[in-house]
Amino acid sequence: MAQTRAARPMTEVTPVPEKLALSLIVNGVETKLRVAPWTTLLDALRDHLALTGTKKGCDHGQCGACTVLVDGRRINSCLTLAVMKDGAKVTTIEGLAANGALHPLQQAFIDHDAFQCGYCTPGQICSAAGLIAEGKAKTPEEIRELMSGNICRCGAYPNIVAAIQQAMERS
Amino acid sequence: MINFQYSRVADVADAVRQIAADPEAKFIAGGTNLIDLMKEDVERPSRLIDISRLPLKSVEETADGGVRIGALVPNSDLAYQPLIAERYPMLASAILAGASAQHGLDRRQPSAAHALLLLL
Repeated sequence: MAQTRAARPMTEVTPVPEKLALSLIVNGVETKLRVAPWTTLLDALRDHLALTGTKKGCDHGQCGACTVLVDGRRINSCLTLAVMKDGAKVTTIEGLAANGALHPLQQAFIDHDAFQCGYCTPGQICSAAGLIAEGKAKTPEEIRELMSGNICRCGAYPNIVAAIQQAMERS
Repeated sequence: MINFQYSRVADVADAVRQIAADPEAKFIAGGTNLIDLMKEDVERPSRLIDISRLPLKSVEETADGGVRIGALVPNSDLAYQPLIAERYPMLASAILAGASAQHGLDRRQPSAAHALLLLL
């Protein structure tokens, strides 16, 4: 690391790389965009596609607020480069409701009052959708463990677990 | 985050060529760890060479009774592999305890190879 820093002093002028073209299928819609290589998937969704439902919390992969589904699997979009996901299917909180009806997880979060401020909620719900698809969690304890990547500073955890259980039973 | 060049490789030979051509380049597989370090200005690669699409995602038994794990097998995939879960339950537990479900080739984005390096 020290060597890397020495080799690239802050003052060094390097040519700015060109923006790269990529294609994503976002919530079922094929979307073409041009982004700098360092644009995270999170910033691409929020700043380039105006899909601000996905939240930036810590921006370091610790809080889970930025969780989205990529090809059906949950990932931290803040630690994912958009260019690496060229061609992938991305599902955000905006893409879960279908035909005007809430996704069962969205309804369950309302039924169980599973949020207070709501900032972590899009990430919680996308993560829970991934968890249900994985099919590994059955008990409340397993749900808690496999949802451990999503932090809720309001402390709504018991209600979040109850909501996920409800959606799981109905899916 | 710092500026850098990005390229995707076609095969392993291409990856080796590209990393050899630029001493300040780094491979990126899942990216969970590297991107975080770049955001913290700990790592400052000139180029990221994306190896995430290389066909290194299999888990195979070897003739001498061992297991060969592809460098790009996602952590969660590895932990839940019947071969690993049954024969190496401590490894499976350690992988699952080591990161959240959406972390790296996430427990999904970090690659298992990287996680093993961290565990060993």
